[in-house]
Amino acid sequence: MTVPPAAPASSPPSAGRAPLSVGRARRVGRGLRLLYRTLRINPLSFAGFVLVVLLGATGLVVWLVPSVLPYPALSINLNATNLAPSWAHPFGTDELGRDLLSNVLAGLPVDLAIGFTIAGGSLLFGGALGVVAGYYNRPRSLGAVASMVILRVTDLFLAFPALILALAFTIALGRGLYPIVLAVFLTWWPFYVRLARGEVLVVKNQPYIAAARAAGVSEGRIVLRHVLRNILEPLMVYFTLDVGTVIVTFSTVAFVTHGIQYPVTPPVEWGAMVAYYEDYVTYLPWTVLFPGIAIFVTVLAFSLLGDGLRDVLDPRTRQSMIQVGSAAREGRVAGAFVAGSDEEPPGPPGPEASS
Amino acid sequence: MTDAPVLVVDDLSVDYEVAAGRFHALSNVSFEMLPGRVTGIVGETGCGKSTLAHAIPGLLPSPPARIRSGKVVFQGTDLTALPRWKLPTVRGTGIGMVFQEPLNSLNPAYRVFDQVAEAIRVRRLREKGAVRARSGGGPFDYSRGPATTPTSTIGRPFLPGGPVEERMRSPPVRSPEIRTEVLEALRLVRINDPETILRLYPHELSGGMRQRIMIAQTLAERPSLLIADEPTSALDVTIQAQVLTLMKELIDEIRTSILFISHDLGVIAEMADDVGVMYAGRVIEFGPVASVFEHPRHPYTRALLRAAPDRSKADGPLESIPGSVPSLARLPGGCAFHPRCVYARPNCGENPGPSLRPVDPADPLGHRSACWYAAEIP
Amino acid sequence: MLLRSRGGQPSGPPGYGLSLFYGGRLPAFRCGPRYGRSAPTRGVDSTLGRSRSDLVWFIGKRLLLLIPLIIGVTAIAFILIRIAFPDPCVIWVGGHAKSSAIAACRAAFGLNQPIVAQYFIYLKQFLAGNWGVSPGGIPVATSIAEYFPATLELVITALLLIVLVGIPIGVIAAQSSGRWPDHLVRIFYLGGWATPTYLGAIVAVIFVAPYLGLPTSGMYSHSPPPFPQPTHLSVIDALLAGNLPYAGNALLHLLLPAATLALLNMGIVTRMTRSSMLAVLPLDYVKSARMKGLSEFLVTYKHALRTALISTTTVLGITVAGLLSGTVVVEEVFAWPGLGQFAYDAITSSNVPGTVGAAIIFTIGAVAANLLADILYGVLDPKVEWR
Repeated sequence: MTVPPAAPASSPPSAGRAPLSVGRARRVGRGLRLLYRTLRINPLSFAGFVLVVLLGATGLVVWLVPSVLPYPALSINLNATNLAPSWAHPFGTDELGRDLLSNVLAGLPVDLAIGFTIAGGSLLFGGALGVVAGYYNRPRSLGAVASMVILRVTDLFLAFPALILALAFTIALGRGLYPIVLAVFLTWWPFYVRLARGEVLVVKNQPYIAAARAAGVSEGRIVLRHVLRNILEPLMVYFTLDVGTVIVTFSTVAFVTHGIQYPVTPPVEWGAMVAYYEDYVTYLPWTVLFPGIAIFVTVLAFSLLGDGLRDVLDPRTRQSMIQVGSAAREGRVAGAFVAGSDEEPPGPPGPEASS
Repeated sequence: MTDAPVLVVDDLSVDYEVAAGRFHALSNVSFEMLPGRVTGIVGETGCGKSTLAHAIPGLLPSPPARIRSGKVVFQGTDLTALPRWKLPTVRGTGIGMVFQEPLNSLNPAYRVFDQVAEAIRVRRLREKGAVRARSGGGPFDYSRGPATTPTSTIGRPFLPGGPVEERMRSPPVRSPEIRTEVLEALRLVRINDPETILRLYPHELSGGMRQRIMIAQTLAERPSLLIADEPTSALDVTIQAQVLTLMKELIDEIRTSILFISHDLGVIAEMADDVGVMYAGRVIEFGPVASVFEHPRHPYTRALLRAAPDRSKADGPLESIPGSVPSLARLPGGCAFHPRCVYARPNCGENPGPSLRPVDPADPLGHRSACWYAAEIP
Repeated sequence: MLLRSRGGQPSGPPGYGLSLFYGGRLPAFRCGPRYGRSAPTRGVDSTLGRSRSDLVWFIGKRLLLLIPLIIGVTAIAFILIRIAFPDPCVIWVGGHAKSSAIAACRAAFGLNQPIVAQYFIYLKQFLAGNWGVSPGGIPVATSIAEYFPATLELVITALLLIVLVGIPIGVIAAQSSGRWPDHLVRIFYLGGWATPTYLGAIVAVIFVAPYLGLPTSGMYSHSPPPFPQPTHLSVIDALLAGNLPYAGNALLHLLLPAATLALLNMGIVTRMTRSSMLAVLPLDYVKSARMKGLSEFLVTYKHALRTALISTTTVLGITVAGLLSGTVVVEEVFAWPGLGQFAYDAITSSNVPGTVGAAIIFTIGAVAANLLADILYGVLDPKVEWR
C-alpha cells in the first residue's frame, strides 16, 4: 500500500477511535487494510469476497454485452419447452421454452443494481439526516428541533416490520418495478439515520473535533471534513452487506405482489421470477430453484463478506482482533528469531552494560 | 521442614503459539511451596508472573498457550496430566485464586450473596462428594470429578472434616445455613455491614470492596493453596494498604499456603516467607525472603533491590537497571540477563543460564540462584 | 425505536454486532462493552437497589410511550390509504356519477374537511374498531380477530425454537472461535439469512416435508375439528377439548412452518449471542467462576451466557418483527389460516383496508415485542435503574 504524503500541518491532532486521515489515498488505504485484515483472519469472508467480485464482474459483463447470454433473455422457443437441466440448457427451460440460465443471468445486473440503488439512496438520504440529527442537537436551537423531528419520524418508520411497511407502500404506490424500488427505499432510509447518528455522536465528542473548533475551523467544515470522514468507514461497511439484505427484501416484495405486478410474463428479476414459476414448482422444480439459488448465493456472498468486516469493526470483538493481530506480528518476529537463533552468535554485552 | 510440599512446579515451560511462530512465556520454572507458607513471586511487567499464576490451575487458554514441558504437582497429582474435565475438581477447594482486576472478577449479573453462596455450595458438595459418589450424584453436580472417581487422590486431601457419614445434599441457596456462612465469610474480610452488601450487585461497590468480596468468596471454599495474582495492583494506594493489611491478618488466621504475585518488592518483603524472582520467563532466584533480599545471589535481584526507592534515604539518587526488559519474542542468547548485567563475563552470552542451584550446597532447598557466578556477587 | 431511546447519548460506539441485519435499528448504547470497563464506584450508594414498585414504574413509563407511537403508526396508515385512494368517493359512487352525488358522498364521509380533520375522523373510526370492510363484505377487524391467534401461535413456537437452538449454537461458535464449528455455525445462520422466505418455505414444502412425512397444509388434517375453537390456537384448542390425537396432529402441522420461520430468522440472535460471548469469555469473572471449581458447563451457561444474554435480548424485538414479516409468505405457502395469509390475500387482491389493517396489527405486534424485550433487558441487566 502506498503511503500518501504526510498530513498538512494545519490538521488537528488525531485522537480517539480513528486517526484523522487526510487524503483520498490514505482513506482508500485504510479501507483496503480493513478488507485485507478481515480476509486474512477469516476464510469465510474471503470466500464471500471472491464471490462478490465474481458476481459483480459477471453482472457487468451481462449488462454491457447481453450477447454473452446463451439465448436472448425471455426469448420463447416452443420447440424446447419444459426441458430438465441439460448441457444445452444447464438450468432447464420453462413452459414456453425460455432458457432459465439466460433469464437468471439477465436478472443478475437487475438485482445488483436494485440492491446498490436502494442501499445507496438510503445511505445518502438517511446518512445525511442522521448527521444532522446527531450533530445539531444543542438544546433550544433550530437544529435541535429539526433533529427531534427527524428522530421521531425515524422511530415511527422503524416501528413497522420492514417487509410489512414495504408491502404496504408497494400497494399504495401502484404497479411495476419502480414503485417497489421506491417502497423499499422508503422503508430503508431510517436504518441509516440511526446508524449515522450513533456514529456522529461518538465522533463528535472526540478531542480532535474540539481541537478543530478551537483552531477556528467553521462548523460546516468540521462536519464535512472531520465528522463525515470518520463516520464513513462504518457506514460503508454496513452499506456493503446491506446490498444483500436489500436484494432479499426486494425480491420478497416482488414475490408477494407478483400477482398484481406482472400477471403475464416473468420479469428478469429473481423474486418475481420465483413467484411466476411457483405454480410449476411440482413438475418443473428447476424453474423455481435456480432463480432462488441465485438470490441465495448473491446474498450469502455479501453476508459472508460483511459478517467478517463487522467483526473487525465491532468494538467488542475489535479488542481481541487487535490482540490477535499484534500477537501474530510479534509471533512472526519471534519465529524469525527462533529460526535464526541457532546460528546467531551471542552478541557481546551492550555498551550500556559495561558502564 | 518435613512436610510434603503443597505444590511443586517442576521444570515448567509454557509457549504462546501464534500465527507465525511461538515465544517462550515460561522457561524451565521450578520451585516448591511448603504448607502454610507464603511464597512471593516478584518481577517486572511481562516477565511471566501472570502466566505462571494462570498455568498452575490450568487456566491458560489452550489455543495460544501450550505447556511445552514440566509438571505442576499439587498435593501429589500432576495437574498438567489431568484431563480437562477433571480440573474443576481441583479448583476452588484445592486451589483458589484472587485476580488482579477487582472490577472484572465478580460477575456483574449476580448479587454478592449469590456469588459467595455459590462458592460455599461448591465446597459443601465436595465435602459430601465421597458419600454422593456411592449414592449417585445430586442434581446440582458442580464437580463431575468426585462423583465418578471416589477413590481419586484429588478431592480427598482437602476435605477438612473427612467424608460425611449420612447421605445428604447441600442445603438450598436460600437456606439460613448458607446465609449464615455467607455472612461469616464477608465478616472474615472485615466487611462491617454484610447484610446490606450481600444484596448489592458488583457495580454498586467500590474496587476495594469488590476485592474483599473476591477474597471472601475464594476463602469460603477453604482452598489448600491460594494464588493471589497482583491482588492490590489495580487499587488506589490507600485501598491497597487496607487490602494488604487484611490479607496479612488473614494469612495469620487461615494458615493456608499462598502464592502471592506482585511487582512490588516492598509488598513481597512484607507478606512472603519465601520469594522467587522472575526475569524473562524464568525464576532466576528463589529462597527465604530475608536471605534473598539481604544477600541477593543474582545480579538481577541485586539490581532490582537497588532500584527500589528507599524511604529512609529520601534524597539519594535512584539507581536504574541499564537497558530494558527484553521482549519474550526476542530473548537474547545465553543468560537472558547478560546484556544488562554489570557482572557479565564473555561466556554468559554463550552458555544458557543455569537452572536454580543452591547457594549453600548443604541446604539444597534453601536459597538458590540461576547465575554461574552467584558466589562472586558482593 | 421510540421505546428504546431512553434519553441521553450513546456511551459507546454503535452496536455493529447487530447491524449486519438491521443497522441502526437499535440505539448504540445498548451494545457497548458494558461489562469490564465500568467506572469504579465509591462505597455504597444508599439509593441503589431495585424494588418491585420501581419495576411497575419502569414498565408503566414504557407503556405510556406507546400512545404517541400508535398515533404515528395510524397516521402513516392513513397516508397510505389516501395515496392509494386519493378520492374514495369517486370509486364508491362511481366515476360517471353526478358531481353533486360525489360532493354529497364527500360531505357524508368528511372528505371535504381539512386533511388533519380527516385523520382524526379516521383515528376515531380506528379506535372504535371500524377498520374498513374487505371486498368480500367482511369487516377487517373481524377477520383480524379471527386470524391473529394462529399467527401468534406460529410466531411464539418459532421464537421458542430460535431461543432453544439459536442461542446454544451461538455459544458453541464463540467457544470454538475461528475453528470449524464456528465456521459451520456462521454458514448456518448466514445461509438462513440469505434464503428468501418464499424460497425456504417452498423448499420445505416440496423437498423436505415428503422426506420427514410432515403435513404441509393447514392446522389439522381434518378441518374443521370436532370441537369448539375458543382461542383459535390449534394445539391449545385441542388440549382444551381434551382431544389428544388432535393435539398431536396440530403439533405436527405446526412443526414445519415454525421451523422454517425459525431457521430463516435465527441469524440475528445467533450472531448476537456469538459476539457477546466472544466479548465475555475472556473476562476475569469467567476465570473466577472457573476457579470456584464449577464445571465448564456451569461456567459457560450460568456465568458467561447470563451476561451475554443481556445483549441478546436487545435483538429479540427485531427477531419478532422478522418472524411477523415472514408469516406473510410462510402462512401462504403452508396454508396456515393466520394473519399472514390474510395479509397476503389482501395484498394480492388489492384489498387496501385489509392490507393496512394487517400492517397495523403486525406493527403493534412488533412494538409489543420490543416493549417486552426492553423490559426483559431492564430486568436482566442490574445496571439499568428502574426509576
